[in-house]
Amino acid sequence: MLICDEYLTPASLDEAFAAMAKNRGRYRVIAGATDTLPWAREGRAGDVTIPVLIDIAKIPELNELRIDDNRVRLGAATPIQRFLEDAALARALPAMPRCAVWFADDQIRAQATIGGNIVNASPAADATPCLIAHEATVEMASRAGKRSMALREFILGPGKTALKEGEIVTGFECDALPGYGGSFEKVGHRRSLVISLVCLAVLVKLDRDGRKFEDVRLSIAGIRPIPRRLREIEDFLRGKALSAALLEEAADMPLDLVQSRTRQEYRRDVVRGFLVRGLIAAAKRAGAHPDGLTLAMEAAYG
Amino acid sequence: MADIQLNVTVNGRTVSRAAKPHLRLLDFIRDDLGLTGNKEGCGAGECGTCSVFVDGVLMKSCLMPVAKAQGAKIDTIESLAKTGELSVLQKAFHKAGASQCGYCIPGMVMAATAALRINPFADREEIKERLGGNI
Repeated sequence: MLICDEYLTPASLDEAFAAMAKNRGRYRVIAGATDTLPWAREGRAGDVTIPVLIDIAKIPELNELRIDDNRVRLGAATPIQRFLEDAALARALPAMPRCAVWFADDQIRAQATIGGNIVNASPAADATPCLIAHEATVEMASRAGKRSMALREFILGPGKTALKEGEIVTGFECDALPGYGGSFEKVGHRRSLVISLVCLAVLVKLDRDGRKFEDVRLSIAGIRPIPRRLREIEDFLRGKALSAALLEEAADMPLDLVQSRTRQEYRRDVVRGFLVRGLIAAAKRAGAHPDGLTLAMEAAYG
Repeated sequence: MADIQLNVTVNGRTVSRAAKPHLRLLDFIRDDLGLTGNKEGCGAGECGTCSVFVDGVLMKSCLMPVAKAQGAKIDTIESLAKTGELSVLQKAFHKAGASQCGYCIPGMVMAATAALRINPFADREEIKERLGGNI
């Protein structure tokens, strides 16, 4: 059980910073709370007492959403469900709805926030590799001012980020990629509420004929302490014509990716399969020509 | 302990009440308000039997600190048979003999209700998806 003496709901960033300064050493910032509450139970952390909880989910800056032709700005308190309900957002960030549809379940998605998923920095966090594929930057604010950094540099290890005492993640900025096809591959024991053993975010842009890879972005997580872009495979695929042979070659590139503590052999097999399946799914959504992406390929890897 | 002064609407009625800050919405509904229809099955956000509508959106009340519900319109399983008559969906569950021990059923009925409110023509696959948050 999570026990607290005070539950604060600051209405602004300034109020939040004041609460953090006043209660230094005895508070935790929460947003959706969907990870924190189940963590404080028998079998995991047990009963946890945190004197002051500071709920930042309703602060206006953390709920902003701005989409223009090139960039998207997402407030940190954006609920995961928004990627499924907001058509413009889904179009601008093509891999995020594919990630959201696998994320927990309907009820949790309505409350869980993108900021919480990233700041908790679980190696199995799904939103993180997906936003990294969209070249996201993290924005942080404190009483001292604002700063930002690349999301891929923000995650330092399991449960560790570059966030400093007194700072709050306020939002993320990433590339708007309409016209790209996205996919998100994830494996676990069941359909909902799955903790990723492997998760792969894929974004593909094809040329006008739908035959050649113009841009590819791959970001993998679940198999290592922090997510990783697969630039070697991205560089290999860029400019080449889509074909089964090409995808097999990409999936066979000798990259030693799996650094998990358990089930390495299984995860290696899954990574290979995900690369091919994820690229096929993203290419299809990007408008692949049926000569390059045949029905036989789809059937073989679907 | 700094109590939360909670002002919410529960099943159509205004409720204004002090609540201990560490409570979950589930505890407030069951223990403070005596609405024991929704249940705690797992306390971990996995079984869904705690599911209630918060401003029309189905959420797991075992994952919601009570202060998060401030100002919201909450509808529990008790809201479905308000006039004393079971809803169409509740009647269907009853007629089909769906309930065995009954523990998961409040959550199942809530999720099924949510699914058909979102899409009254939902097919089997969509319904399965919408029930994915329940055991």
